[in-house]
Amino acid sequence: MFMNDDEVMGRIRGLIELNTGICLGAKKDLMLSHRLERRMAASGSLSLKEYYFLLVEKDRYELNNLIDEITVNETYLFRDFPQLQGFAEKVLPPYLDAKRLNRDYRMKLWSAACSTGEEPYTLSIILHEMIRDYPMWDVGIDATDIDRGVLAACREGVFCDRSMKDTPVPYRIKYFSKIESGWQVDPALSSTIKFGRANLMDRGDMRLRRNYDFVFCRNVLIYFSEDSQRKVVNGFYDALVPGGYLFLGHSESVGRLTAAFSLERMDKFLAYRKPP
Amino acid sequence: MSDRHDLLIEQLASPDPTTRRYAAEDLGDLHDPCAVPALVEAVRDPQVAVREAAVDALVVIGGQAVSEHVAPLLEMEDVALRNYAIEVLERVGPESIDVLVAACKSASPDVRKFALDILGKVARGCAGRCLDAVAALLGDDNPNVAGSAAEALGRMGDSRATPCLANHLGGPPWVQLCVFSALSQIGGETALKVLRSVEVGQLSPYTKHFYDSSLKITEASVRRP
Amino acid sequence: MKHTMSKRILIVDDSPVVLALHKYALETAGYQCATAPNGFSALELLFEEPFGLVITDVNMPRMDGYELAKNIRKTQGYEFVPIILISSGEGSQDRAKGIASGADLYMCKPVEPATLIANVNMLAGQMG
Repeated sequence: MFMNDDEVMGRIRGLIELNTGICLGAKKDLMLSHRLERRMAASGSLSLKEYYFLLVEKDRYELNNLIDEITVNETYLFRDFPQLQGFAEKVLPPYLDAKRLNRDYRMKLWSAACSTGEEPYTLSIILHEMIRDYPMWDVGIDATDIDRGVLAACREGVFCDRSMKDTPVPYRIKYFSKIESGWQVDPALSSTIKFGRANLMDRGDMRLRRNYDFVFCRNVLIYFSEDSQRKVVNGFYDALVPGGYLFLGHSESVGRLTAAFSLERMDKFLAYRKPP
Repeated sequence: MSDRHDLLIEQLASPDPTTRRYAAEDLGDLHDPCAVPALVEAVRDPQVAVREAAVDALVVIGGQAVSEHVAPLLEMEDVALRNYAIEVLERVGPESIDVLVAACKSASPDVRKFALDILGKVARGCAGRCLDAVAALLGDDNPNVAGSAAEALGRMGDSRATPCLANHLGGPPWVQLCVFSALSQIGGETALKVLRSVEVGQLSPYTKHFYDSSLKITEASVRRP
Repeated sequence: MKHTMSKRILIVDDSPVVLALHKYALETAGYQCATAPNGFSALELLFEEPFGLVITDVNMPRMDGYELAKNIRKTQGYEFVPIILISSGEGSQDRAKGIASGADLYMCKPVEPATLIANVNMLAGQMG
């Protein structure tokens, strides 16, 4: 049975959706290719077709391995809910109050490594919900990724069911419209966000970014070497205003990389604060 | 290039901490040893971020110029400063060996100990350059220093150290412990023979426990192909 | 997760030999121990599970024992945990600095296992 690579990919996508509900649309193609490459190398398959044969005929467990590979870096809105809750309920209110006292109604956030946009839209929802005098504020979210290819998808703001799985129902109703291809984000959320390309390892790129109140970079640093992590985290430090916060993934830690941040413990996770 | 260098040196004294931090980073990238004294000063900056950038820049420049300028900081009372010096010397690597060998002769037991700890980490693979200096400290009056000498020899893993260690099986318990551990890290037939020659009955219960595990590890090292 | 709910001891030192010795000594005396090679690992461990007492070396790279003691005192649940600082430092400045950083006890290296156990027993009253 002759199939070209595209058809094989399509079948693999179908297999995955059938078994997990995960729909890997075109915007996830790159991710899927990378994962497949890894599984092909691990299983000794010399071609995509050979791997597909392994998947459906020879090895019952290989599908599990592939699914594990795919879900390890799964992104969806409101990922790491406890951390976002901590940000929204413990960190943000006093921070906002301090700004109000100074009559400073500007705030900048940076979602570094935003991938397909789940995180910046999540942050936008949180800000709309938590800032009771929102119209008085000038709030901006910069969302960047090294991969130019994802930016179009980000700007589109359409998410599939699986990406919405942790989004509280009231927010779905308030901030999204259901369309044929998925859930479309409300333009009010998109208007807060500026999508762009940035390479966290490029010092020039990084030094351009200044005066952020909050930087989010979750579950990306784990892919960097320790030296590179240090460079990136130092870049975030410089990008923050004094008193600003850095949020990393819950298993990521900054302490080994630099002592410049002060650690603030919120329940189950650590926030890193640039000294005021 | 010297204009840029001068500008950066000026910026190292800027009232703005981010400017100072960028200046330190950029001086590192210039790889110019002339910047070393100014960077060493910047290791005392009031801002952590600037101090760390200065440390990183010194490591990037590297070489004997850096290790020679940084070694004197080991003698400082200031613990944080000493720690930065230790970090720089360690990250500079084998090019720190000469100044560390000199530091082994310091009048301060603390400095001798720091030098040994760093040598253990940077001299692996080139132990010949410092073996004598380190082995000489096995007999140091200060047990922390003697213990660190043994630890360093163990870390370096060079079997030429085995005969030296063999001469110090009977020191104070802490030193004995470190010697046994070092022999187990070096491994091999000779180390095994040395360990087997120890008068086990003379050992304190704690030391005996460590002797036993060191012996096991060394025996395993000999069995391995 | 107050420290007083735990009888576990955290030992922090950048020398593996020291860690092994102190752990062995305290375990033979009946205590449960965990070890960390630096201040950052130590703080992570403290967040993950409760400890009733902390023993830390002073001279460690990147975060020395004084810094670690201060950071521990700033940590929720560990404000009053007994801390023993161990140092090869000979200066009286070191001892004063140790007390100023919030430590309960200051010991000199090399540490006699029996003395360590005695000191831990003494502070263990605060371990609940």
